[in-house]
Amino acid sequence: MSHLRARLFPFLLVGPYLLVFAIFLGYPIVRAIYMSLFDWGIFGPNAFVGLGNYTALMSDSRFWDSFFTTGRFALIFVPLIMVVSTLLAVLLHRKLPGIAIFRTAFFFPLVVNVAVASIAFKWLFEPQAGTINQILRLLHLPDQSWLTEPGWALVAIALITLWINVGFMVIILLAGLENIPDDLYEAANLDGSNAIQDFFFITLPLLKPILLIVMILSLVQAFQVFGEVLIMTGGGPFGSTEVLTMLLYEEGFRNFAIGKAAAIGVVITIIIAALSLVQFRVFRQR
Amino acid sequence: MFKTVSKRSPSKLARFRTALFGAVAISCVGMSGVSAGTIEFWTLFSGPDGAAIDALVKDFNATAGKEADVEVKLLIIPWDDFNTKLSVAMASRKAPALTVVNSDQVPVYANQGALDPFTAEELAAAGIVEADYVPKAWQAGNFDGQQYGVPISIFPRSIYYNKDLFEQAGLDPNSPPTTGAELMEDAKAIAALGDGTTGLFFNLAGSGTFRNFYSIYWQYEDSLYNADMTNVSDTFTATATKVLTELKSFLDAGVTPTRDVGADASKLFAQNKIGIAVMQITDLPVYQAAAKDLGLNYGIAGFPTFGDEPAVFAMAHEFLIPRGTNADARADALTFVKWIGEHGVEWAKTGKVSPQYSVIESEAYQALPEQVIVTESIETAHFPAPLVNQPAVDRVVQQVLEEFYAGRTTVDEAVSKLAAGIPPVLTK
Repeated sequence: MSHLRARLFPFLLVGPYLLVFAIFLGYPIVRAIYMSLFDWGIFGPNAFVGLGNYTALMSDSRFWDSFFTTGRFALIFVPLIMVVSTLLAVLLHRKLPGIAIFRTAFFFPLVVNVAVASIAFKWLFEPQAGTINQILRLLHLPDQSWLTEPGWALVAIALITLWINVGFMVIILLAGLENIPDDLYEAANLDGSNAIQDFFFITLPLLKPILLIVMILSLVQAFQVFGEVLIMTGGGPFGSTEVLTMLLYEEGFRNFAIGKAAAIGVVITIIIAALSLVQFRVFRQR
Repeated sequence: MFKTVSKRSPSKLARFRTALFGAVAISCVGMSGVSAGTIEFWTLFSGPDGAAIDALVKDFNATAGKEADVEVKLLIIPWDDFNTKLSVAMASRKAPALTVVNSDQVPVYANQGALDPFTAEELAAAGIVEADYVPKAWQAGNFDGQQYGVPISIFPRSIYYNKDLFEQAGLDPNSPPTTGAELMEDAKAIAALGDGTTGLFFNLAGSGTFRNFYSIYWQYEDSLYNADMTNVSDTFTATATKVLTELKSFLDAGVTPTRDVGADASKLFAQNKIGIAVMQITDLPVYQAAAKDLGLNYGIAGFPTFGDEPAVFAMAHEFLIPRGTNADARADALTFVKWIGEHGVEWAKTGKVSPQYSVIESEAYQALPEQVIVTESIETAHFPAPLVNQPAVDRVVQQVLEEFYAGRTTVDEAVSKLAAGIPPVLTK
């Protein structure tokens, strides 16, 4: 009996989470897969189409454009947030007076609503009166059409997504840094290492598992970016920031092709799951 | 102590129960937002026309609504969010009894089965007569032979011109350009004034791009599509090339900004920095206010003719009744629709062309000079094809044109992209 209790106890502990997961994540995922098999309109299913929505996506150039745009966004965003959050975490890890204020300041954007942040950044990036171009002018650098030039628009969206999320990544990395024993740095210092060598030969290798988590989380964020795009560029200019989530929104809420939108959602989920799996495997092998 | 309370408690409890029941009942009514004779009405009018429709609703509720025991509860939703919120409300069976959409959305909603068509009997019972409406606007509310919409207003493209700048440039302030050639001449003369003055503004981004493109296209050719609406027309490439060449000539001549100033165009026009602005009549309240507050001296005119025949893009705002609205609420909604039609002059003052002949021919409407000028163009107005995929086609055209205006494609490349991009969307 006690053996049975011992076996059931872990399930009891994870039970509440599993329940919440099943209701708020498991069911929506299963429901999305189900909907993706139908021609689904505003009022529900019109006809069963099997994999029709998926085959339609595969032959839809707009889907592939969105797919590659999302990939480009991930290529900008993921390395950017990894580098910036690691550097910030290392700086904030120093035991200096008042450092907690900086930690709070970097975490603060995470509690700001995406819509609010996007509207604020839209003003900052405004070509004529925006603060960012004003600063460029002070530095005698040319103005940029941040949100109306295809090249810059994706970068601008990556910057605001970075601003919102970097604090969370810093907190995770700080937790990782806390677990690196000070002895290692002391021993290395006795051997004459400098701060840069400490960073590359002690901090980075020991942070690898945490960096993996940061990479996966930021990749997931890259594939889920939506509010920033919707508010700042609406997918423009010329569709250059139409990421997969924007296409999903367009298909679902403008064209009312809800089955097709569900199929896009399923594809996004599969992509994220596959990339996460590959990353786990690669890091585990190393 | 307890006993005393318990002796007195039955009556207190009973009162408490009654109060609780009453509160629950009231809150239930409040939550549903609907009581007998009350209808919800959602609109996308969030500019100056939002205040106007709010005032009209209040007037209706205080007068005709009171007499007919109908109360209209208005909800204004910004237009860029409107269709998303309306569709979600429809899907969750919480749609309002009455709404207004741009006419290009009528086929989209009707095709989804999201609307119930008006019957001839209920229109007749409400006193709404088709013959009183401009046929193109009435037809814009029709899909697959069923009447889903009753128009409340029409908004064609038109031009605003700055009379002071015309005078400074040596032009006649009472002779706005009527052709493409005149538009170029006038724009050049105004641009020559210098000091940051722009001769002409037309949209290089946003929905104005395809609306202007269609306006000129239809001056050369009646339809973008072939007869069975599955492809672009046989002469599409030649016609689209003409249109884009015309539009590009303004950019090449340096009379119009090569960078999109769409969001600031109204302000620049109000500050005497733009000579001629291609916009639509819905912008009128902005310039009326600028005339009053800043002394702007402007005029309004029909869309210039570039092609063989005059033509201009127009759409209507259409009243719709979402599916599932019960018969009483439908009747109440039509009572309100009829009343708004009778107050069409008030509505037209917010920068609209009335779709009703009874309004257009009234003395009060004829005393609105700007509306009267633009009303003349409804004879040559073209509405978008009543296709489910027309808004999707518009998005393709907009994207190609934005790319073209940004100098990223040539005329030939842009036309090729249009010819290749429209058919798959059209037949989706």
